Amino acid sequence: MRWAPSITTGIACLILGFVAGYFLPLQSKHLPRDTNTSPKAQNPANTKPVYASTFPNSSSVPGSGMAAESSSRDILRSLPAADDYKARSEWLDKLPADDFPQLIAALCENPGPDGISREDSYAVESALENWWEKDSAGLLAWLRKMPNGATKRYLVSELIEDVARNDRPRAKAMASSFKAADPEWDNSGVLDSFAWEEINEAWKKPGVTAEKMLGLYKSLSGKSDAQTYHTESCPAGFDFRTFLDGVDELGEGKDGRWAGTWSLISAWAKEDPQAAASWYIEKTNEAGQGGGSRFMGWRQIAEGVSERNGPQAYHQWAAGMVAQSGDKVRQMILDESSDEDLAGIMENMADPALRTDISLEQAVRRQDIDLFAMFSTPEQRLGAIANDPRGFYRWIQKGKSDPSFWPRAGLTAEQVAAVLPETPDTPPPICPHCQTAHY
Amino acid sequence: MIKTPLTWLPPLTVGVVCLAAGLLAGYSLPRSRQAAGEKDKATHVAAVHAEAKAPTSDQPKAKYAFTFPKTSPNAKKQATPGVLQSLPPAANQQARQEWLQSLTPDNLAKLLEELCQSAGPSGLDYKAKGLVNNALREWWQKDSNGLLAWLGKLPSGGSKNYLLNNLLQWLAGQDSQKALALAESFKAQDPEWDSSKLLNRLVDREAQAAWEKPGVTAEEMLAIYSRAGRGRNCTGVHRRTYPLDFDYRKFLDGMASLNRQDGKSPAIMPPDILDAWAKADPEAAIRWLVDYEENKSTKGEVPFVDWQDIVGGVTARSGPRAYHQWAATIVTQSDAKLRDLVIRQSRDADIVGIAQQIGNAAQRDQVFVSAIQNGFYSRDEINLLGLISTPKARLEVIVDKLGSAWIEQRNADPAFWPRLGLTKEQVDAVVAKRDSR
Repeated sequence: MRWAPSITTGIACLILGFVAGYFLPLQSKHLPRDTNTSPKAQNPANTKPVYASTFPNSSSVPGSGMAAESSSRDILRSLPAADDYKARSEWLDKLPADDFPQLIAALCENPGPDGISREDSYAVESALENWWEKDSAGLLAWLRKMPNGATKRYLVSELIEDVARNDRPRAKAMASSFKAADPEWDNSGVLDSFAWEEINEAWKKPGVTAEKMLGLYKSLSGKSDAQTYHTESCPAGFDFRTFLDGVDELGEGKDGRWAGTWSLISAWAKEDPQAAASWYIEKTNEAGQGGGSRFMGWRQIAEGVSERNGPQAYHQWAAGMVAQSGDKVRQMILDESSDEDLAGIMENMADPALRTDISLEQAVRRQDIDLFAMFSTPEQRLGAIANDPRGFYRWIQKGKSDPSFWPRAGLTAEQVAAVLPETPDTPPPICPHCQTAHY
Repeated sequence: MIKTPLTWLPPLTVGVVCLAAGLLAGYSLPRSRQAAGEKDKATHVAAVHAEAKAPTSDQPKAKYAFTFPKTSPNAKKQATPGVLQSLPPAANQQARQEWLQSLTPDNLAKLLEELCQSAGPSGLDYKAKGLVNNALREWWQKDSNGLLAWLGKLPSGGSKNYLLNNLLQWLAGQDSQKALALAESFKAQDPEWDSSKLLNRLVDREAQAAWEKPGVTAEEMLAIYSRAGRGRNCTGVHRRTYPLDFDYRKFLDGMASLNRQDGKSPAIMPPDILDAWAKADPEAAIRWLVDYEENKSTKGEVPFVDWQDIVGGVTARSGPRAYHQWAATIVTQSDAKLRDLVIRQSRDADIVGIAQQIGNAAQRDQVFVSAIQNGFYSRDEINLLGLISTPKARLEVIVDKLGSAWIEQRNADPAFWPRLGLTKEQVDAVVAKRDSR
């Protein structure tokens, strides 16, 4: 029986140890993180971190409980001010991967009809980028667990576009995978971002043809914004007409398939001003001002010719076109000219009567009292006011309250009053859309 | 086998071993981390709550344990049919308007809630925003007190900011004093509500009205603009016409001094004020701009001021030819600071216009070279290079200023050098000559 005390002690200690062990605190809240993502992501044992933040509760808008928001908003208190980009960036760099879900959730919470601010969207993008670098597997898992909806789609799109900068095949695979999990997600914006990358690369290739470029533009959905910028120069011998006609046939779309072409017509105008101008005028006549393009105008032709041949040459050439063209083209050139170009065109006009008419009309359109006084006699100015008192409504009102106004145009308030009809002032109608008067 | 060693093991040893084994077993027993006292942030959950779902190719195989609130718009629609379901199509504006008019305040509240809930971080599209604005106005006309009470109960956040700002901006168009009083009352009730957009808009309305007053002074305008919010972004309305004898210097220096105090920009400011000064008095405007460029780090910065304003003002006053002639004398005769400012901040077309007024080819080439090296991001350097007077001068600029990496990049395109009137052999020869030195 000598072993009896040992057995008794052993059993008692085992029970005591078991109970004490059960209540021993677990490891600290920061679990070991998976920083080396790709190999570990393949091993379940290594993919421990799990992000369990409360995700943006979009039902927290009017009337619903806000209790969950306070915890996710805690992190925003330590986020540096929105306009301090440097401090924000440093803060984000130091943020542990564990805190990204909470931060992103807080930033995306209750965005409202305007969406999140530009500064906060930068912070979300940076957080996604940082999280991706620190723990891509955790980020993907977190995104996959989110319910399908606008917030998830926004975050997924941002992430994929960021990944595409370094690893386009992976980004494409991610786009397909998320689309499969959320068939209602319109991923055309993401797919367009891949296409724009290809377009921007293609423009740099020597000898790229109009047909090749057109093929790439056709792959765009027409739903998202353009992501192309000024191209340094177009390939030598590029067939501008074929390309621009092709893009024109794609239709206006909702976006900027055209946006990438503004510098093209400028480049064309540098090489062949007449051809570029004729093409643009032809399109203007066909489809109204702008030829169906929101991103291209006469101003690009003016810029191209001025940059290659000098502004003086452009102004002479444009003054000739204004004098010889029909009303529609003349108006298009004048309306789309900058103030500087308009002054140059008028400077080069051979017909003084035409110059006077243009200066009076454009002065009112541009509300430029100095231009009004520049190329006309006081009688001509008074005549213009008398012919269109409604067009001059704003100036007439200003002249009544400011005695120094009409003298700037070489007129007196009495002269103006004398040419106005005696009927009461009638302001121009108020536009139902913008609630202002269009003069 | 067991009995024998136990017969001589002392109870203390057995006790220690068993205690250790017990501790280990007890610690390893699975249980909830939350229950273990980890209640602080709950940002991490141990991978114990399994969710059986096969991982996809780029999904880790870990098991994740959390439940998101159901925010899916589809799920919501199925659960409770919303007001939006009876919304007529966007193409039929008339039907939409009639439909809005038929909604009770309760339904208008539901409509606004549904629309706000459907907004993700990108916000709503312009059509949905238009619907929000129209619903607010409709509700205001039906029951303004009810609407204000409902808005007052909204939690702080993007939806409240948008709804309040839009309603009050619309009201400000009819009665700015009433809008301001309501804004102050809402702000007192909810200090987190961001009223800055609305207040800036009201300040801007005041400023526009003040600009119309004959003889308004720089001090009066500064007093108004100093009440606008301050931050990083600035917007403004082009005035085109400013009061005669306005003290532009005092106004711009005053705005700079505000920046010196807080390092921020005003939320609103007229963007064409330097342009107007240059039109009225180009010499004074230029002197101010040069001094500003030199001392802005200590005296404070102002948005919307650069050489392009001088170009606009002088051109409007005297025409582009006169401007280019005058600017040509500046870049050939002025000190380096002014010359660099003009070239750095001029558009390509003006660079060409200025150069064309310079008779001396070397001086002309120097303008192009300075522009290529120092200027707007959108410079077309190939075009400017092509305008340099001789192939020899072009080669020198390419080799000396642009360098071998630039040349290497262009060598990939056989058609590139001929566009500059050069051959690859010529470029290679000059590069080799420079390398041999």
